[in-house]
Amino acid sequence: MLFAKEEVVIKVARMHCPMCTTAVKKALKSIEGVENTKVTLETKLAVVIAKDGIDDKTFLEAVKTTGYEGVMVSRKRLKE
Amino acid sequence: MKKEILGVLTALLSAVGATACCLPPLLFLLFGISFEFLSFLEILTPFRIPLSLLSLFVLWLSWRSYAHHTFTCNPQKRKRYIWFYSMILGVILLILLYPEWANFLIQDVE
Repeated sequence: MLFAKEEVVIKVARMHCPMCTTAVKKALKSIEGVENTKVTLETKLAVVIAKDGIDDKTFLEAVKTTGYEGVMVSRKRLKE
Repeated sequence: MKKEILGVLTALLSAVGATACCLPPLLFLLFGISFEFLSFLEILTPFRIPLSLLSLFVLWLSWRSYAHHTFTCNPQKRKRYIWFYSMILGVILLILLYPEWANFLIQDVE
């Protein structure tokens, strides 16, 4: 398969402390197929590298478990 | 003395209010389950700095009021209250700064 990974960018606007970023990171990492996550407090963005095919809802529900609402910003397929 | 105790309680409550917005992520990180029902505490986020300052200010007022009225010649009593206020200050600082220090501990464990 040519495209097997995706870069998913999620905005979590209400993150406001280092603990929020760690919680969001942990929640996103718990999704099966997620390989890497980078959450930045300054931009309030979570950048997730995951296997292709995980739907938006799965990511957003994972973010919701931390008590925050996430909004999908972009999805980009990555070449392997 | 009632006024001083009220000051200490107000300082503690303000400190809890200042960082209550970080409670859902803390509980999520500690227990691994969602505490989404506490997400209403997010509304306190803009008040984090004002409540933190209020907490320290009220504690200082309480200390000043106590020192003004009670510090006479009883060194034993004085020492006891210095300890008491130092401990309260320590607790308040722990509460105010837990989003920072607890995060380091949790990150290290993971």
